Amino acid sequence: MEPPAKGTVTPLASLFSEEEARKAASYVEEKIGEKRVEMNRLQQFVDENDNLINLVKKLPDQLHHNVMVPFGKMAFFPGRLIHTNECLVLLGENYYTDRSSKQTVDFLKRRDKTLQSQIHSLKAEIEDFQTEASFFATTASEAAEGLVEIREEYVEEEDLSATVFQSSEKETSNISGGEAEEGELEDDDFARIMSRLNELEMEEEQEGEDGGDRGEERDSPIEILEESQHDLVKGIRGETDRGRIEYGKQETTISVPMKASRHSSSIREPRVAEPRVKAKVIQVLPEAHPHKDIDDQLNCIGPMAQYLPKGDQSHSGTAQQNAGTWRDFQATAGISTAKAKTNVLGPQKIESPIEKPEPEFDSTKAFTGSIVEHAHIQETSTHSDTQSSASQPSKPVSRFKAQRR
Amino acid sequence: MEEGRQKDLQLLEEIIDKGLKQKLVHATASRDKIFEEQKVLSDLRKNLETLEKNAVNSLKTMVNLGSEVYMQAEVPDTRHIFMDVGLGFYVEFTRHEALDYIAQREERTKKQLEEYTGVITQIKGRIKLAHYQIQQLLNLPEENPSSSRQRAL
Repeated sequence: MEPPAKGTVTPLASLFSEEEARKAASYVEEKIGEKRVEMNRLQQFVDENDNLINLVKKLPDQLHHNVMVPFGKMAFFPGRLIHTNECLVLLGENYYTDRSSKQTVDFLKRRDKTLQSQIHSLKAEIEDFQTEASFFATTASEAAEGLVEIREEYVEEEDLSATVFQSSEKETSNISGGEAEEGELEDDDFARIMSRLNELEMEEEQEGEDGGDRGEERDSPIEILEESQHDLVKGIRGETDRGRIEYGKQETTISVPMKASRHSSSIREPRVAEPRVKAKVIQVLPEAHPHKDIDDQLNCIGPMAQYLPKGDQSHSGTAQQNAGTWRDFQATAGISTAKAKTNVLGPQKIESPIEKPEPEFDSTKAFTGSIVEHAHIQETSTHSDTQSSASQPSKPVSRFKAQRR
Repeated sequence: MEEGRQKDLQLLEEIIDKGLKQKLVHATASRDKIFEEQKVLSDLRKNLETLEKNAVNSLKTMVNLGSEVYMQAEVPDTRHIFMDVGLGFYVEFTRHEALDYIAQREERTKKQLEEYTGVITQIKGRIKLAHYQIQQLLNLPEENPSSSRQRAL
């Protein structure tokens, strides 16, 4: 830590003088007054309208009413209102229409509604101005009290950054583990995967420190993913063997390892950026990281939701011949393909990866996905061959289509 | 000397802004009211004259119920008319009596108008005088642009 003072201290009064703040407050108060006047005017209209509605409602009760008929502004004739169910209503722009008193009441009610909405918006405006005024007033009083603003640049030191990074990594892994809150078996799997990932990362750190090239880095996450894929599929398989057939359960249990694998890729990204910008790592890790995890989860869960019903569909399509195990397999296969996709696409930051699965899949396969695809498909297809003859080992998605037929 | 001039200037400006201009606004407002009254009276007179000319004894009209909603109304007898004579009093006139009354009233409003016009011109003259005094206090150079402005106006 550096002993000399790094920050700056600015008294609030120098930024906003008390006088100015008070002036602003009074200005806003004036505006509030104007708005109040306007609102009173509108309220008057509303009252008039209400009176008129009552009057028009009452008028048809009798055939005629004796009234003083105004003749100009200063003179009246004694007379009476006739045709009490007929009103001539101004629509605006000098257009009048004949209406019955009921229709007139409806018309006036609609007018009342518009007036009310106007009053409502005015009220909101006044409230807005009031908060503004109170803000100015508090600023003024704070400036008067001599409040100061202290700013200090956050400078991170070398060795500290490494420890922080490590700890934050552990933290995030713990967090995602805690987030999962599934069965212990999954946690075990997850822990195993994480430890493996950590090992791999350590190796990587030792190998290429300042290389930092995306191209070099790209291969390694996929290797890890491959690894994790194997583990995952095994884990899932173990689960299904144990006989957890319910779909909802399956969904949740599978989401745990997915999180783990996603997690690995998301850790990797800040790691790549690390040697270049020290401070950024510190910022990115604690804040952006969990956030990203959530995003990734969303991305993952999306395709899962897409894929599970598909499995269901195919299940119903071939309803006669299947059993619970077959169904399980479908679910796992669908999810693992979905997972494979998201994992492969993840590092490249492609948004909404599974909308058009086939072309994207091919394009990614061209330079990154091949290993994952291969391993994965062999893994699944060996199983699928035992159970479905319609599977095409080259592309998992087309296999899906085939199954759906 | 300089201070006294500043004080005079301030005083004059105060007189113009706070005294004379507000008076002028009041005077013009009340004169506008009287103009309106005059217009109402002349309209009423014309209407009554047409009724008289055509010997109309009953008429149908539309009554404004408020907010531009009208309803038909019938006047069975137009020979008698109630007129506002001020302070909320209404007097029943026959048409001839009403016409006489309107003529008298019009004359009175005319006088009032003249009065108010006199007051307004007086206020305007005072304002001009104050301006002139300000010019005097600020010496000649200020006089030329303002006089040219007056010509332009």
